[in-house]
Amino acid sequence: MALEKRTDKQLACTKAAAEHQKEWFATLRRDVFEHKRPYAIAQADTPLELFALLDLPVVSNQWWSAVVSSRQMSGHYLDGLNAQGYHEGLCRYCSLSFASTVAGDPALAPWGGLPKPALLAARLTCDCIQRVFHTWAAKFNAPLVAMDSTGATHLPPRWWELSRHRWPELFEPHRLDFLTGELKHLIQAIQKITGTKFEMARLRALMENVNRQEEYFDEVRDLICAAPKCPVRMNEQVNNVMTTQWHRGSEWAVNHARAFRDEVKQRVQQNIAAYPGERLRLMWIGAGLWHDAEFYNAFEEDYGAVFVWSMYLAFGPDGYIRYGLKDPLRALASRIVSMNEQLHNPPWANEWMVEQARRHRVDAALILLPLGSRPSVSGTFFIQQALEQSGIPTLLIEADMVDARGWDGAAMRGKVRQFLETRVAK
Amino acid sequence: MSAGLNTGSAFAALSFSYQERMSAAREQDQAGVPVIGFTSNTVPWELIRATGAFPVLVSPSTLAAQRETNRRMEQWMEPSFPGRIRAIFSSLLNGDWSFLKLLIVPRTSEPEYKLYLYLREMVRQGKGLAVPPLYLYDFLHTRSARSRKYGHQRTLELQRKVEQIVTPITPETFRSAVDEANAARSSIRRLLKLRGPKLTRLTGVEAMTAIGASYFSDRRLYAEIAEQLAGEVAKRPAMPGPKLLVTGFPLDHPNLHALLESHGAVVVAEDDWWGSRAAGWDVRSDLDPGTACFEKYYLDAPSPRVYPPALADRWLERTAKQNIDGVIFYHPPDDDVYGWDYPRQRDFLNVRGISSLRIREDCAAPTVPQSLHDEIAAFVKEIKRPRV
Ligand code: SF4
Ligand code: SF4
Repeated sequence: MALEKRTDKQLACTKAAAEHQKEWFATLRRDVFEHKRPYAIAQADTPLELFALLDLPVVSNQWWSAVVSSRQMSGHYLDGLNAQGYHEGLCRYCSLSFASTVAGDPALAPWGGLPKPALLAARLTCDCIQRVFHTWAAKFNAPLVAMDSTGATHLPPRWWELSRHRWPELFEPHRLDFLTGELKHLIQAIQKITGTKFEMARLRALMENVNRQEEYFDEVRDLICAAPKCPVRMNEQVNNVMTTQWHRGSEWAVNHARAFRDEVKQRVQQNIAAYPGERLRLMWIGAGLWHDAEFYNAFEEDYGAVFVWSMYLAFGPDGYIRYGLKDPLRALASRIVSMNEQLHNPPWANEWMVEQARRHRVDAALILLPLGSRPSVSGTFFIQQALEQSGIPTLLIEADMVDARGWDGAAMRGKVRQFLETRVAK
Repeated sequence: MSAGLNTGSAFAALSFSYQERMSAAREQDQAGVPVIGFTSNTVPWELIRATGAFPVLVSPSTLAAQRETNRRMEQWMEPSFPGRIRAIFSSLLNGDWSFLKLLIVPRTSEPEYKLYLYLREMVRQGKGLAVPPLYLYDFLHTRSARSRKYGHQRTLELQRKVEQIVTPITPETFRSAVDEANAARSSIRRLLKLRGPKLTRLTGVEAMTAIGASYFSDRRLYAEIAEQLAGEVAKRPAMPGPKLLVTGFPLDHPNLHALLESHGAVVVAEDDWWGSRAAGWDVRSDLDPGTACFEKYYLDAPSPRVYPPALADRWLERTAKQNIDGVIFYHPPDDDVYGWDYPRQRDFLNVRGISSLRIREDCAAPTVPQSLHDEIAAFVKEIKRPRV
């Protein structure tokens, strides 16, 4: 996800992914400006599949936020937002893209900036997101589809064992009914814009493609777990996976996932390690530190410490695969209905992270504590305690995923070094 | 509250209930009445009451106690949670509320939903032995036909749950509970009239205290005492000072009001379920209990999740236009929600020539910086001048 800057790319796939995304965005801008083609902006946890199916290109808010951040522009935009009266205590991850719209300086913006969308869409998970998207939609004078978000009361801890085949019993039926209704509403809104007719059979085929894509990621994860040394750096895992996820189910995405699997497999067969001197395996918990991608390679030389895990690759197979597609729309609803619980909240997030740490033979975990994007902090302490109890030392990294203001990269590297020396180093 | 009845004036009795927030609930429990707790204004009080149980808002009694318990629970609940939620979390784990037959947590804000998940997890891990049985009331606030249907169904489910725990609701018990709640609402509305923007006889601190007490009291008794207070207050002379409206982060304490009033202003309204918006309309007793409660709470109870904003802003916009001299936006460090509404609401006021001041300091703290005092003093001075 837009991490190419200053981090070397070992895989041909990584370069291809970055190029694809850049080209895709340039085409989108051209289509919007020259051919007046509509497009949408949506939260990452919305059903991007429906946009693809109904011919409405979609830009994910979090992707754009990461792009802006990796260009070191977050401070500039967020300062601008604060100057308008939005105070500094408000969530930044999801509002950075909005801040770039408020600034309204396409000449400065990455790749020319976001043009006016025909539609915005968000799931109302936290209490702030309805506000961010409403204000953003008003700024663009574009409609917003706000899908409400229900609460879970049925939370079997080892959710990933049920999510592929037994998803109808993993999520409460009334929650699936509700979200399916929200999706139908979204479908109507998109259809109104593009005129493309929704067809269940096409959605089923797309969902099957998403399964294929995630199965390749599953294989990559297995390869990483089994190889003596990590064959692909976390940064490159994230770049390949996220670019693919933004286009999930498309022909390009399935092919790219396969090519990624092939390349990683080949590296494993040829005994190629991302960092041959690997002695320690690290886990990164939380969203990526999009403004300082180099951070993830900073501990290789001195400690042989390689980041082998982030949620981005692992969540593909565990969170997305859905078998039994008799009702593909309901299956799609089941894919997003509890993403927040799976990634952030107890017991789902902590149980999953411990399981992942074990499978990946992780020696220590660094956990992002993004106090600048507050609701996404939740669950952090449960995750930390669960890992510590399983014998995995943890370090909290107090930082924001996109806001570089206040980030002291050198000091944080020092803190990690000290942690590695005192609690981890073999 | 019964303990407070004999302590002197009506206000003293209400003040006792407001400060000693567990007192009435404990008395009821000791008298053998099942007590059911809830964590926000969006839980239908009448449904609980109609089963014969005593409903009580779970809220930490004093601010000092809040801070103390917060520190002990720091390892589980991150500092990103608002103080009120952290305090509820720790007081439940400490066993303060173990006598509750049920704790109902509504999905009326994200921190509350997470409070529910955290408590469940503590129980699952064997660390929440003192936590009462939990129930998530998955109540949505977007105004769509789908959310309405979902919320209605969840309310009927809630009804089944409380009936199962206590006793089934009958038309008589429901009518009685509705009468009790509506009587309290009516007396709150009477108090609100005594602090109108035209003529104010009640301070903001008194109003917050007197209204807030309703969440912790036997509402029949509450209505009587509040009426008594209204009767006493009606004889007072009108208060001087510019009239303020407070909006923003919900206030479970009267400290901000005390601070503002120490500078000669008087707070006459707050866009807050702890103050002016506590009562709202009456619940209907001619519908089935679940439906009647759902209609009231879905359409009339404030929540940070009410959407679209035009609806959420309606009360503020209407009230601000009624001779209010100035508006205070309260966005303490705990706020990461209401700040999003600020530029829009500020602009609405600016266009109408209504002055506003934003406060970012935590006014629940025992002291506030001198600079804030200076800012408030200057603001009050400024709005005292007649508007052109
Ligand atoms: S809490 Fe999460 S979803 Fe909400 S605005 Fe922040 S990062 Fe976005
Ligand atoms: S709240 Fe978490 S899962 Fe949701 S967008 Fe933010 S970081 Fe991602």
